[in-house]
Amino acid sequence: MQEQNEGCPGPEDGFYRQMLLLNGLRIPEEWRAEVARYFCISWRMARQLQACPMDLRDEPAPVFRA
Amino acid sequence: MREVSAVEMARKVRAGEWPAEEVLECFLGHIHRSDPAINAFTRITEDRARRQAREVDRKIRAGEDPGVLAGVPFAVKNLFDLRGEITVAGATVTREDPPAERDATIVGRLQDAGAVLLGALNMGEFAYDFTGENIHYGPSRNPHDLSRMTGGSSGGSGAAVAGGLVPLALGSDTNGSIRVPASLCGVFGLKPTFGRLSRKGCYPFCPSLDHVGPLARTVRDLALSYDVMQGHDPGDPVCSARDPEQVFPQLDRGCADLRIAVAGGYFRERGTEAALAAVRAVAAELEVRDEAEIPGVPEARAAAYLITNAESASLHLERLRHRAGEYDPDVRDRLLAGSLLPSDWLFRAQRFRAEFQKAVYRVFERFDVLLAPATPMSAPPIGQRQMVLDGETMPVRPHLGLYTQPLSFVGLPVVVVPVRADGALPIGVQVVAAPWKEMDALRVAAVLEEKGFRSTVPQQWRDADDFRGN
Repeated sequence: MQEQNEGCPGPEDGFYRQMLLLNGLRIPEEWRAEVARYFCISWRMARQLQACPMDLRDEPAPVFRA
Repeated sequence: MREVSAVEMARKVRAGEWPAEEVLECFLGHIHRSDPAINAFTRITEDRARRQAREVDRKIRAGEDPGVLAGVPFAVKNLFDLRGEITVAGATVTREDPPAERDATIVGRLQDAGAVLLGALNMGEFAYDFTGENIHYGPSRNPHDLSRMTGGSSGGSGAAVAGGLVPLALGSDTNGSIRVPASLCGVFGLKPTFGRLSRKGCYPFCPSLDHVGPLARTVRDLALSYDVMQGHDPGDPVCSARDPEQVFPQLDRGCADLRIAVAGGYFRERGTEAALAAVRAVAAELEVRDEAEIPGVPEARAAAYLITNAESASLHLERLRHRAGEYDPDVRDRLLAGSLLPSDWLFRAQRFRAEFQKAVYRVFERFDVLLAPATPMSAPPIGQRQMVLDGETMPVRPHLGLYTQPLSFVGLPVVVVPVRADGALPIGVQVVAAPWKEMDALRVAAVLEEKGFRSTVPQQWRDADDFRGN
């Protein structure tokens, strides 16, 4: 959870701008650093998950049902 | 009058010893005196409460059954629909929404059992919060130390119960929002199995992870209210069709037949000494010597984080396009970040849910109940942005629930038990049971309460003129 964000896309990257455009969102300059910080937390979480082997053919089952 | 449990209060009301109207006025008086400091309530529904209390008293005079929670005051996180009230869900962008046409299902069930609704409680905006802070309505304040956080997002619920404003409150828990405030405010909290209690009439946060449940100062109050709220509701697509399992009558069974272990690995890392000592104290009282490690807990937390971020962002996308400036900046920035997540991250997270579920089942083949810290620390000061755990600096808001998030990810039932060392702020321990085994967790909590792990209202919120003994 330490701030190790090397490789994480930031507000200046094309990916960022395109996703915002596709979603119809505008982010003022003064919000961008915090949005980027939270995005990087998700990015680190995703990297952790992608490193975990799993069978992607499995059903993404719901949680416990009666 | 305010010192007795909800169970005892209902007994006295049902016996005609305490009129429900008198009980209500006692609590309303305390709320008007104390809530300006605690800031748990965002709306007090006095007229409605007086009508309900009068009806309870009328039934008793007429010889009708007023219900098992007759005259017990309760309040609900302000994401629960209350007929005729706007469901603000901790936000101001919702203030022009139409008033709710009917009460949320579980609010209605408590009222049908005779409980008296006192109002709506403060919360983190749209439940995306572990702190209890709210930029629009102000932070709910911890009754044990008003400069400290209540925890969130059901911060008003934790504060109202801890400060003796109500004996019973409802909260919601997506990643820990009942359990974190229960821990920081020193009260009992129950997050039932995913799908056990109806969420119909609750403002959603992340529907594939949202739960609802009660907070109270005794295990019996938790159990009785839980029993009343159980039952299938076709209005909630994930609400189970299982028969309700009445827990309250089973609480005296003890827990000698249950196989209990301390959760190891991830749950022993990052916590402060207070958090780890709380688990040790509970384990010692129960004479627990076994340790169980669930594989994949860090990944489970990561997956829950991603699902929450993506689902909540999708829920709010339309409003964010036009009214983002009206959101709490801390919530807004997380939602905006969530709108950027690639689909693979979300689908991988949902698939991992199935993997982790299997791993959890394997652990519960060996044990019935696990013990784990509820929060990594006791209540931080209001306004604290960063915390240092095991030498790592991390933001408080997304990480205060690092022990709760992996467990709700697969919907496990959990009871938080308050622990208090001499002179220290309270901190909670999670008593975790297998799916649909709320009874096991509540039985263990009842034993712990008997052994002295209790929730007490701090002295400054007890008024001598309120006491009538019990």
